[in-house]
Amino acid sequence: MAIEQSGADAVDKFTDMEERIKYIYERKLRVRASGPYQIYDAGQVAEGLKRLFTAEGLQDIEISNLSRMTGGGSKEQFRFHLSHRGASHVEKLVLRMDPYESTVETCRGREGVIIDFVRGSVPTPAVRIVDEEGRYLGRPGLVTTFVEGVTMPSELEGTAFSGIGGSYGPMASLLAPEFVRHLVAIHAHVYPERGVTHFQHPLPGTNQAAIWQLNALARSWRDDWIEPSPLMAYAERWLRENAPICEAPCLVHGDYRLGNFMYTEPSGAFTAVLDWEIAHFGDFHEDLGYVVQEAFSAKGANGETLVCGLMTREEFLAEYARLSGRTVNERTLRYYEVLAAYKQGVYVRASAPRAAAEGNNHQDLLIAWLASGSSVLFSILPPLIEAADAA
Amino acid sequence: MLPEFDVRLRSLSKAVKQVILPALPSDERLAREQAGLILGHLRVMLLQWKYPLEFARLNARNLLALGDHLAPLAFDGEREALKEAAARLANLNAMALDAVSEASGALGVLIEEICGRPRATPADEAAFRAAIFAHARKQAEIEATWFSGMRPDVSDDAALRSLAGLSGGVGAR
Repeated sequence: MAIEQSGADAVDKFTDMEERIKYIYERKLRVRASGPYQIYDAGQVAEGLKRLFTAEGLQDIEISNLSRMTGGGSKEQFRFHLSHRGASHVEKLVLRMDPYESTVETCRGREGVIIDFVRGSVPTPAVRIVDEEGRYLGRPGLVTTFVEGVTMPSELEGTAFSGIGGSYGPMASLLAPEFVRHLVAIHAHVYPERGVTHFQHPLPGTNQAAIWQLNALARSWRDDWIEPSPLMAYAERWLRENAPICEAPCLVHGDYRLGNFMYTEPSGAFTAVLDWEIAHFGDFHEDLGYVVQEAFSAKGANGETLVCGLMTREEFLAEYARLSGRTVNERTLRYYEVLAAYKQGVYVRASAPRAAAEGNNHQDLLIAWLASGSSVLFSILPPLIEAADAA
Repeated sequence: MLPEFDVRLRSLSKAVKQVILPALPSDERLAREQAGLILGHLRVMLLQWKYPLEFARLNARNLLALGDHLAPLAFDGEREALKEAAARLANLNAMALDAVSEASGALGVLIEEICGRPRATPADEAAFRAAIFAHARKQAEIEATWFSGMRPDVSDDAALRSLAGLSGGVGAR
């Protein structure tokens, strides 16, 4: 089915996606055969960092206080201190490095570029250096500054993974306005005339914003496929047939949720929005549809459903509309709720179990666990599709 | 044969819980997290280890039922292909695990391909979707039961045996 557009030519419906995305997906398939993945030890990481900073021109480099950080199954993460000749102070830094495969294939180069793009208008770490092909580190990596703060209430630390299904309790009333405010700020970014390295812009007034995301997900499904799912196949067709027009694409975070922002206690002030690896230019409804997912919701004190553990769906959408001045299109929102569930399906029914099956992740156990709990998708997707058709 | 699977699984769990975890420093968070995941996986496997064939058959029957519902809505070539794929599972109760997995996988792939093509009429499309969604709901029940060891309120394999149509059982501890 040709993409719907106002005056432009039709493009291939299955392979139309950003060029850099196509490149990293093809790179992943080449790397797959290199497995199984051997987790990096501290010595290897330190040596890689020294090579990287030497290439930058630093001398007498010292990497200290290197420690592995916990987190999801997408990146190996380390914190460390950097000192070198002529430095006025020790730098506290974080390394994010790719295993061979994970729940989602992304680009450290894109992540670095987009963090720089939003810096100053959205709280983020600062990019220190990028090794987008892993020439020095051995694997693609991104080094940023270390940001103080927490991603979940301190008393809950160690009890949840990456913010799935958690709650912020009394902090919610402080975090909710921050959460919406910064999402609005993200969406205020549009693709500049000078372009953005590694990023392309979907055609305004067409459904290319949706089709690009769907094609990338469908490509991942096919590349990482483990076992058949008629529901996922049907959902892909539905998403293609119902892809909405996006009049004015903007920056989309792609993974804006519980667990992907840091804040200080007890103020609740955001210190950083994290995990920019899926960010792209597209439809703002995509982030809204992602935020309201059941997977990221929690029950409030009165039994009400709180999206991302913060506020009700109605409160979130109303506050977003008020602060942004945008009109939330109910039908488009419902489409992107389906896309969000389809995305989770690709991650937990294909990419995660495939990475674990190949032994190509540093947390095979975690991503296999995620796949173990993935049957909930079969309960979530059908009602979302039906609700979208009724909208 | 000695020792039995459930003995080995329980022993693994005990070793992690009582020896390895206590020895891990509190600041080795990833290692402690991995140990916790090991315990989780072992708990699930303790309830599953006897029934992979029964649950592979459940999956296959669910796919066969879907194929039966889709056949009247299928185009000519699709109908023949569905019939051939289903025939490979005609002797399901006598088939070994690998054979069940391979044949049901082939049927599933075929159904996926069929799902990619719209039906001839809105009525057919609605019936098609209803069949896909019914399969998904049943699959949710099958898989949630298969992985019921993930739930802290589940302490034995009664749900697995019930769904598979078996009696008796083992506990998760």
